[in-house]
Amino acid sequence: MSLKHRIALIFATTLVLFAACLTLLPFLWLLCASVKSNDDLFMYSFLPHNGQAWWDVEWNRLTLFNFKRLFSEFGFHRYAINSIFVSSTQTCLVVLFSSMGGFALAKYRFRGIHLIVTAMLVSMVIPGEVLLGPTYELLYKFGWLDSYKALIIPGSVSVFAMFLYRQSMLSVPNDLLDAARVDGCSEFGIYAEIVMRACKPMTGAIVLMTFMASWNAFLWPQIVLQSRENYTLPIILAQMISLYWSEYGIVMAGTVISIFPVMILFFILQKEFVGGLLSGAVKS
Amino acid sequence: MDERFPFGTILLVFMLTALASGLTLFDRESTDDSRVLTVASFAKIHLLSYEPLLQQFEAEHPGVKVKLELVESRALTQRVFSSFMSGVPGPDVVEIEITHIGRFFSGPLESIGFVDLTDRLHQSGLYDEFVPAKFQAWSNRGRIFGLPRDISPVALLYQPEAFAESGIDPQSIETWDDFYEAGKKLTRDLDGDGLIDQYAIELSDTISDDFHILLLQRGLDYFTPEYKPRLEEDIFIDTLAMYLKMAAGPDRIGAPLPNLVASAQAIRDRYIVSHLGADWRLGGFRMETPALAGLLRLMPLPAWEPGGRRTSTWGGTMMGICKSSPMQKEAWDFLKMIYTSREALLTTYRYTALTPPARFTWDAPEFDQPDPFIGGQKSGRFFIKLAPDVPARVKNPFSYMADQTMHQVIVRSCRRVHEEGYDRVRIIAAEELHRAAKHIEQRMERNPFL
Amino acid sequence: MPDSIPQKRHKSPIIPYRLRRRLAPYGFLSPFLLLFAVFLIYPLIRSILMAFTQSYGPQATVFVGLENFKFLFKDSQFWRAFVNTVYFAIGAVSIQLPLSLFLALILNQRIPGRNLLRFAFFVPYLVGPVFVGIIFTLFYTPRYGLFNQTIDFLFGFGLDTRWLTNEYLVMPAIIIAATWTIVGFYMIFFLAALQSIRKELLEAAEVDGAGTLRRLWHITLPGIKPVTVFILVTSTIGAFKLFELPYILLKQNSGPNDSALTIVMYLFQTGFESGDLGYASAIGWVLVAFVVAVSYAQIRLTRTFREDA
Repeated sequence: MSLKHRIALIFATTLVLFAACLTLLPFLWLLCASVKSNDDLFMYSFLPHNGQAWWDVEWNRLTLFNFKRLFSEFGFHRYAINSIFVSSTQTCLVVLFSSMGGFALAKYRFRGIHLIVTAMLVSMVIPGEVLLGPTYELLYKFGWLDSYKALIIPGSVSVFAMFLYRQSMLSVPNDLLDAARVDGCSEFGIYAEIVMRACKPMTGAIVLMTFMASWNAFLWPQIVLQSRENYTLPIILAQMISLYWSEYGIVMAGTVISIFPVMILFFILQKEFVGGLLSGAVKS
Repeated sequence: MDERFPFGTILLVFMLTALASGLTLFDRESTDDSRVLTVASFAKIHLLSYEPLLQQFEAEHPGVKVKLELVESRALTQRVFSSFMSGVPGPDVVEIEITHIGRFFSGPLESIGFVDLTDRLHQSGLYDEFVPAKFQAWSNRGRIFGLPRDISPVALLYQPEAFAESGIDPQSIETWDDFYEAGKKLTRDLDGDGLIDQYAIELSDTISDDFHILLLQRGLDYFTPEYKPRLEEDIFIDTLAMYLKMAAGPDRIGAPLPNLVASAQAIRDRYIVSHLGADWRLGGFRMETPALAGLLRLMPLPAWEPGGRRTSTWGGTMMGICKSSPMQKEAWDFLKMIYTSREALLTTYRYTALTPPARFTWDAPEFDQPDPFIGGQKSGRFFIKLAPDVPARVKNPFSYMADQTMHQVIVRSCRRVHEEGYDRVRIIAAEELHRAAKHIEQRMERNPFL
Repeated sequence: MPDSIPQKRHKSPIIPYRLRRRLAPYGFLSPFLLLFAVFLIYPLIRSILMAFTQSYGPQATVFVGLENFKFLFKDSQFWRAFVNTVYFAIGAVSIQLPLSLFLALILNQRIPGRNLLRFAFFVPYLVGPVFVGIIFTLFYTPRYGLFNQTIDFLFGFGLDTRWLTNEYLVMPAIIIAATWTIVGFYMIFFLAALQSIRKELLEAAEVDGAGTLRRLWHITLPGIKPVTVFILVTSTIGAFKLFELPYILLKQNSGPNDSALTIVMYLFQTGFESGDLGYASAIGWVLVAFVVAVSYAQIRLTRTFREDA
């Protein structure tokens, strides 16, 4: 590599490094804000310090009080449990339904397959926002409004996840399935024991995608949820920014807790997630 | 071990999580069987003030438990609204903020989800206790759907030290013209860097709330009670022109606060040294931002002409009962308790600084106590003196849309004053109001249910 | 893998084998299809019908024919929302696409700690739009917010810039927040595409004396074109659906002079805040038409370029 190249690369790297720091700055700020008292929130950009010297941090001014109050006074655990319940149930259902559907489309030929695939492709083009009104009306007729069902069940149909499963199941050799059939394995047994086992990475990717979408969902829960005890985390936090504007540290603490689970899950499923995303891109 | 479950460990973990969290949720739900009266509000401070009263209420209504629910204003409105639209039960008793009340009246009269309280009010004699003007906002097609929670008189909150430093005696300010002259001295660049560090008054150039206060002070609202827009009346244009002079002209004296969260800091830094404030805003400052203690004082609003009205009104809340409530009788009892018990009204006052809407409380000695938060002024008596003068407000299904349109008028006309010069201010005001009136009329034609 | 095939007990089947195999796909598909029909197909058809009504919630409905669409075309607020959305789409895509490509090109080089850097750029993607909104409302606080303080620290101006209350700065503020969340996500796609370019090609070009820029232009960029088109289309569709971020950022308002009103926000406001589900449906279908048209145009356009090349 020539000197000119090296210099260019070092320059670019420094730039990217700087950009990375800027990208992470909000997280640092968020963490700092969640352990500051109200009076210090805008007094100091990051941590409370002594006069002009930002490194001379006054550690004793930091407090976990915000986190404590979040749970003791605001009953934050209730919303956290709601979110956990809704997101994890929805994730399980999406994996189950879309993998079964994907299996049928990948490994069988049957009447109506083309019609079904076409309908699904068309539905993928249409933004879900069009469906908000009619779905609201439908759930009203079912008597499901303001319930977990209203969040979980319409959310458990994912055409995208089904196509991803179909995609990865196509690569499971048919000979393997036929061999199992000869051995007397049931069709469901083939699906569960052979195909799903082979598609574990895809399951990982879909778990993360679904969980993330469900955990962060705002528009739909905002429309269907009525009572406070059913709120999920984005709903309660969106309200807290107006209700507790004078105690913003608490809102910041709530935000820290809310973005945490998805990050942990991402750490565990990084590889599968990226793989899954890319196979989605290749298909399109 | 991974091999046992063909869907992968991660899904197993999720299934267990779903099961465990589901069990905790549904376990809790089955335990409660007493009848619950849900009271929902967007104001933390209102609910706090009801808490001490619950014990008595529950003692008088055996088997009934009151649940106070805090929901953010916009979300509460939307939830109550969609519960009316769809018939899903909402809260039993609900407080609605004045900005959002109009839309509840936009359907057919029978689909208005609030219980019509007109007859109950007259029969119980409660009607005569209130300032009659305060019912107007909560009425539609001649029926009353809620009780006014407040009177919300507006005064000026100012920082006496900043005024003194600029050599201004607040007593000498009688009209808005006087205030403007004083404001020019208060609006200063303190450190000489060419940027203004201190503004005389908090006035928004993006939303119309402040403008609306000044308009109401002159006895004018966006609509007549017959739903006719009043935007193009001379006095309306005149008020907007004066507002633009103060908030947008080359010699402006007003600026908005940075945002709600940073407002206390900005006031402490004296970025802005006076504010239009209703009684509840003083209460809010006292409760939410104790750091401002001692910094602020009250004075009546400057009048539009010598001897004119020295107050206005801002915001306001009603308390109503939802038709879907199976406990309408208990809900009405709750309303009556809040409004007829002297103790209840004074409790609310102590927490919120809201001047009680019912007159029989106004002789309480509490109102004459010095308020240490504003340097010992008697804030209670101060606002009660303004209360009888407070103007009425008109709310209808198009009010919210009109508010939005007026926000736009403020943004656009402030911008145009910057771009086209202050000389054209009256033309700009007239043009923008004409445009807004057309917009409002176009949308009013659309509702098939009125 | 083969030895993990379970050995099932042989039992005489009640349903014959062939029939079982023919019925199986329907069995597997049925839960999915049921949900698909109820929560996608039915609402889709219903929504077309609803667009011809005016309603006050699901209870009071009046048939109005084409009235909604007629009103929509003269509805200045809708067009305001439309212009804002297009502004956001163009602004966001034209910043995000080159930026993520640039990051991917650099992070594809052998530089120390590149995995950590990739992670740093990706992590904001995991934060939901509501939480991004919450964080950024405070950032954009004039005078006291981190954003203005950083700009002031770096360049020495802009401390009092009112990002969220100035009608011209609202959209840029939203674009910045949106870029923060999404750039790392697109970067991952570009990285994968870059890795799939054959090394020999690049090496051969280097031997032939082609400079870095020439190699970039003639080998790398054509090589990642399919992914670029994919990102272009997805990000445009995503941009057209903008709602949650500005909604939270602006405290559930549409910004000064409706400067941050987006199509979906307008749809939400008319449908669920004013109760006119019919008009909301009409807005939704106009949105569908635009999204389909724009994605089609983008795909066609990029194809023409390829034929030219």
